[in-house]
Amino acid sequence: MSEEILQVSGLVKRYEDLTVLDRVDLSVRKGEVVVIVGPSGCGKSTFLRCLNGLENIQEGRITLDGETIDSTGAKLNKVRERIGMVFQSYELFPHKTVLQNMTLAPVKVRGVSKKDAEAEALQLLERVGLLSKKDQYPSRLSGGQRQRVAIVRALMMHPEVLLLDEITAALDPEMVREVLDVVISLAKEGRTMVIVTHELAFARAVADRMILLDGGKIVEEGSPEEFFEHPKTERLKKFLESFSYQE
Amino acid sequence: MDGAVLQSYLPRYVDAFFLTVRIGCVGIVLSLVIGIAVSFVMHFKVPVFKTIAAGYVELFRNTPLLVQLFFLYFGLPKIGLALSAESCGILGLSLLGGSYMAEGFRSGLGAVSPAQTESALALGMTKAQVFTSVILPEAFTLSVPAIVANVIFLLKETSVFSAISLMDLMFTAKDLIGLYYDTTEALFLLVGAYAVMLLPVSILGSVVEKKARFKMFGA
Amino acid sequence: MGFDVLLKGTNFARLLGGLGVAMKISMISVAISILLGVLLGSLMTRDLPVVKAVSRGYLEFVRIMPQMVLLFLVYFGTTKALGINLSAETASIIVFSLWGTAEMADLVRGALTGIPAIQYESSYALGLSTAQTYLHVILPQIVRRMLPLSINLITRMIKTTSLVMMIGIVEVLKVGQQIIEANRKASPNAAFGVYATVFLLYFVVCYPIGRLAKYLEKRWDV
Repeated sequence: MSEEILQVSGLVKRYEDLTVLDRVDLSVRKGEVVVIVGPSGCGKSTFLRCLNGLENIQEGRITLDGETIDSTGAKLNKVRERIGMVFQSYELFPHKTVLQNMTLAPVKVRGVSKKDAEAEALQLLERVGLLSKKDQYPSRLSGGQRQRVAIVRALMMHPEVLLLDEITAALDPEMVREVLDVVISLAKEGRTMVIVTHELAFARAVADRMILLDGGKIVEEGSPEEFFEHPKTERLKKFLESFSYQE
Repeated sequence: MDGAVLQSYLPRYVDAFFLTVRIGCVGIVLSLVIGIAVSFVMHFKVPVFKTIAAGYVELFRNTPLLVQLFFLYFGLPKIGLALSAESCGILGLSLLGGSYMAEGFRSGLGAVSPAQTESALALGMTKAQVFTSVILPEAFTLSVPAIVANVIFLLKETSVFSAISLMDLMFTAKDLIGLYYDTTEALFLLVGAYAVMLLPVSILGSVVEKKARFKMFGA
Repeated sequence: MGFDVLLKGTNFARLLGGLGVAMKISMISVAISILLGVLLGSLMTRDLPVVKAVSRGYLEFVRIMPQMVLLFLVYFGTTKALGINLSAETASIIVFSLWGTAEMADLVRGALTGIPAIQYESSYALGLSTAQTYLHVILPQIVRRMLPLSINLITRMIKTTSLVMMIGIVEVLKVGQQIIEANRKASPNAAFGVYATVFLLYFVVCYPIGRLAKYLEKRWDV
C-alpha cells in the first residue's frame, strides 16, 4: 500500500448553528481515486471546498503531506498550488483565451517561462482534443469543451491531488461522456483524485474507493464492488435504489 | 430665505410647472407612439423604411436636444416652415424621445426568446395572435426599465425649452434672478418644482420595474 | 439656404473652435468623473451604512435633477451662498463631474458586484494570491464591463455640454448664433445652414464614439 497524501481528521463545518460536516475522517493514498456520492445537500461539495481551504472549518485538521490546510493560514497559497480544483460551472476566465487561461497560473505562480508553459498547454490541449480551440475565448466553447479546458488548466499546476466538484452536473447529457473520458484517462495514469459526482456508472468505473456522505457524515465506504453490489447499510441501499427504475 | 418672496414667486412657478409638465407629457406620449412605430419597422425589417428608421434613430440619439430645438425653431422658418415655440418644443422632445423609445422597444422585441413564438405556434395560434398576445406583452414588460429611464430623461430634458423662449421653469428662474437678484429663493423653487415633478416618477418607476420583473421571473 | 456663410472667412474654423470648447469641457469632466466614480463606486460596495445612505441620496438627486438646474445651482447659487465667483467654465466642469461621478459610481458598483464569488475562488484554487487574482482575473473583467459604458458617458457628456451656452460660455452653438447675427444682412437665411451644420457636427462627433462603445460591448460580450 502506497503512502497517504491527504488526511482529514475530525472535520467539523458549521454555518451558524447548522452543522454541514460532522466529524468527517478520510485519508487518501497517493494514486487513489476516491468518489463521494450522496443526496443533494449532504455536504459533499462543502467537503471538497474545505479540502482546498475555500471554507473555514470549525474543528478538525486537514493535512497535505503533513502540511496543514487552513483557510486563514498564510501558507494557504503554497498548499493550494499542490491541490487542483475543478468546479461545476467551469469558471474559465472570460477575458482570456483558452491558452491564456492555462498559462496564467503556471507563469505567475510557479514562475515557469511563458514559452514552456505554452508548450505544455498545447500538449494537454492536444490530449483532450481541443488544440484547435487554443486561441478561442471561453464564450465560444460548448460546456463540455469548457470543462475539459478547466481540467487541463488545473493540471498545468502539476497538482498532487485533483478535486472535481460535480463537473458534469451543468452539462448536456451528450457532453458528459467527453469530460468523463478525460477523467478516466487521468485515473489510469495514477492521478490522485477526490471526486464528487452524481454519475454512478462513471463513479464505478473510475473509483478505487466509494464513499456515501449523508447528513454531514460518512455513512458507508468501500471498494466499488462492495459498495454497489453488497451495500451494508440501509441508507446506501435506499440511495442506490433511488437511481433505479426497476421494482 | 424669505417666505414673502417665495410666496410672491410661487404663482409664476406654478404656471411654468404646468407648462413644462404639459409639454413633457404630450412629448412623452408622442415619443411612445413614434418609438413603437419605428421599433416595428426595425424589428420586421421593412425594406427602405428600416434604413430611414435607423438613420433617424442614430441622428437624434447622437445630437443634443438644445441643438435640435435651435434648428427647428430658428432654422426651419428660413425655408418656410415656421412653428410656434410650443410646437417646436413638443416636436423636438417627441423626435428625441422617439429615437430613445424605439431603441428600448427594439431591444425588448429582440429579447423575447424564439422558443416563445414556436411554443405559441405549436399551441395552434396564428402568427398575428402570437405577435399581439405573446410577443408584444413580453417585449413591453422587458422594455419597462428602458421606458422608465427614458421618461425621467425626457422630463429632465424639458429644462432646455427656455432657450426657444418658452416660459418654462428654467425661464422663470432665470428671469426672476435677473430681475430681483433673489437667487436663493428662485433656485429653491426651481429645484423644488423639478423634485415635485420627478421624484414621484422615479419612485413610481422603480415600483413598476419591480412589478415587471416579478411578472417575468416570479421573484 | 444659408450654408454659404460658413465658407466666408474663418467662420467654419470658428465653429470648430466652439466645438473644441465643448469637447475640452467634456473631456476634463469625464476624466474627473471616471476617477471619482471608481472611488465612490468601490466605496459603495463596502458595508458602510453612512456611505450607502449619503451616496444613495446623492445619486437620486443627480438622477432626477436636470443638468440645466444643476448648472444654475452651482453657477448662480455658489456666488450667493458662498460668495465665490466661479467662472462659467469652472461651474460647468463641476456640474458635469458631479453628474458623471454619480453615473460612473453606479456603473462601477454594478460591475464589481456582478462578478460572482466563484470566479475569485477558481483563481485562488489555481494558487493565485489575492493581489494576483485582482490584477489578472478581476480587474480586466471589470474594465471590459466598464469601458463601453464609460465611452457612452463621453458622448452623453459631449451632448450635455451644449447647455453651457445658457450660462454664457461661447461654445459651438453660441458661435453659430454669433455668426448668424453678424451676417444678418448678407445672409438672412444663415440660421438654417448654420444650425443644420451644428446639428451635423454633433452627430459626426458622437456617432463614431457610440459605434466604438457598441463594438467593444459586442466584442467583449461574455
